[in-house]
Amino acid sequence: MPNALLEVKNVSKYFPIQGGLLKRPRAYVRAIERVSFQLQPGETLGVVGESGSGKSTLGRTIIRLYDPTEGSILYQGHDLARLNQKALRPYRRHIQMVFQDPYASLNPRMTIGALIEEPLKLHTKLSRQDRQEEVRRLLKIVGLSPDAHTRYPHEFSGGQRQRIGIARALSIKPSIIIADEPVSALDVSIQAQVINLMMALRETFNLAYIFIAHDLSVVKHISDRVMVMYLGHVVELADKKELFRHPLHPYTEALLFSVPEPNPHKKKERIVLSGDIPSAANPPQGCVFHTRCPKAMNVCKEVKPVWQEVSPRHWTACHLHTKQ
Amino acid sequence: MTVQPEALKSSGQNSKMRSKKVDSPWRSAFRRLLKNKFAITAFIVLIFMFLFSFVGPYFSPYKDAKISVRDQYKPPSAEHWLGTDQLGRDVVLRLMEAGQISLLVGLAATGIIVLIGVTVGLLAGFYGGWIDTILMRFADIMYAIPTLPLLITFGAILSDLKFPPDQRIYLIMFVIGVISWMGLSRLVRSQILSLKEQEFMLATEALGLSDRRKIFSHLLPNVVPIIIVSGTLGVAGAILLESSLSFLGLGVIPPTPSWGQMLSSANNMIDFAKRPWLWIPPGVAILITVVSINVIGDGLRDALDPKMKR
Repeated sequence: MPNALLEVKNVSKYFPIQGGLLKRPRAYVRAIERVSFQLQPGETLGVVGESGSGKSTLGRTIIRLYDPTEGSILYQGHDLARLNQKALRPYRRHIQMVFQDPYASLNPRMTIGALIEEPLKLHTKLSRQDRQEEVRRLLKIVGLSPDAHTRYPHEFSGGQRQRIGIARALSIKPSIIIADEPVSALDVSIQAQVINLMMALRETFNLAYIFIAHDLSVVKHISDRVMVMYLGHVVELADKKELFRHPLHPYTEALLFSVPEPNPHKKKERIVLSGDIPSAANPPQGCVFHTRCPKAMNVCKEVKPVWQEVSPRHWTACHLHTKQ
Repeated sequence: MTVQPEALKSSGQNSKMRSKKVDSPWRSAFRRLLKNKFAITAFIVLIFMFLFSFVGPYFSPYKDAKISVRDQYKPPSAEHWLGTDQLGRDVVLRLMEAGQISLLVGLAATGIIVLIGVTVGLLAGFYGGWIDTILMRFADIMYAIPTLPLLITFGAILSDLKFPPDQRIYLIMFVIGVISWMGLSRLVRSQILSLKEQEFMLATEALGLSDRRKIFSHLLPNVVPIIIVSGTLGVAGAILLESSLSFLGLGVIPPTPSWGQMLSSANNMIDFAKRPWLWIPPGVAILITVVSINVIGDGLRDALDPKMKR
């Protein structure tokens, strides 16, 4: 697809483990390894995986909070991975982020108005009055009172703060919003409200989301496509329906079976993974999942599976499905 | 891009906002401070000390440098409430003028401490890396130099250079400031380090804010409470340091008065045994001032940081 809005190609991020007197890196934590995907305008890509799978690192690398170790991040053909912070600034307005912790993501000493106005100051040439007008409009859009702009973050609940975070991200009209577990810190009832707001905004502003979460039911609700990550690797990527109906990778299967079933009479098969996620500083040889995979074969321990399109728009990296 | 707010509002736990006054963090801190009776009392006492020192002299019937040997060592009486000193000067007036010097030295030295400490702490914490290493190792070296021997050496040099007494106090302020900023810079640095990891700082990064904006509109306001508390307590420390120096004869020297210097000139057996009006008042003045500043500092800390309850 040549006209992808965002194309991530073979992006890796290694964090050095420094040691010794000279602070030379002794080893590397391979947080994400050769991740590739494309994002179309207006599309929502869900990213799931357990803790330590590299979901957040991926989000933060795309927005260049971290510098990628290798690979390229093409936004409408411009490679963001090669730009320095200064050259990157004009592109900042196109990709914004909504953070996980609504209590930590708003500066406690700034008013809501100042917080939402700040990106406008930096990225637009609006007059002071226009900016304030815009702030009021944004507050209304995310379902808060326009008069809230004189208040401070501590006066709002978690859900309201997350709306403020969304308004801030939205203020400079980005085309992509990376949402890093935006609802996992909220109560379930509030989660639904925030998710619905995000979906409504997607329609209104034609936003593309990269929606990072560990809650599959939330991802199922909002996403068009879903990407499954394990230990820094993308193990499966498919359209939502396809992935939930026909998971190919054993890890995806295990994840899907972990979703709680509301109906107590419905018996379901259980796949329980044993053990913990291995250390990303010392990932297993071959397929990274073979240490916990219920279907592991001998080949899995030695050869890294190839990332390939098994059926149309359904990609996975697993020896069970490798085509010769 | 037209938006129908109505359509989106359905998802809102919407616009139920109380219409009372804005409760800024500063305002609520101030409210908490007002509830602290100790701090308020201390504050009133401190204001009294300031008024006493700076406004008091205008109400005194005596003149500044008037020396009269005839009135030497008078005990407290109706004319001289706290008696007179060895040169026949009124002790009450002397105490007021000494207070001006002591308080000024305390405030000015603290100003210097805050200026250096905050700058060093901000730069070290924000930029990290080798800037951090250089600045903090420098602070460590400054910490390792024992204060008193340094000040004694310094005082001796000043005396040797025959530095005019009335200009000496400026140097004292400066020196006290230059040797006591390290604690504050470490506090500020550690605070910056923890703030830097907060998500709102990631958000400023994602927006592409300049370093200047990040420092001045996001980081600095969040360390101001620490600066206020530490600065307040620093004033007390500086006053004490100046008093000890002057007591040792190395700080303010006569005829310029300071509380420590008044103690110093009464530091002999006869004055100690027979003329308590020469050393009790300055001692009490130092005690009251330092204690009330410390109480205010504690009160401010409780008010500004509600999470840190005892």
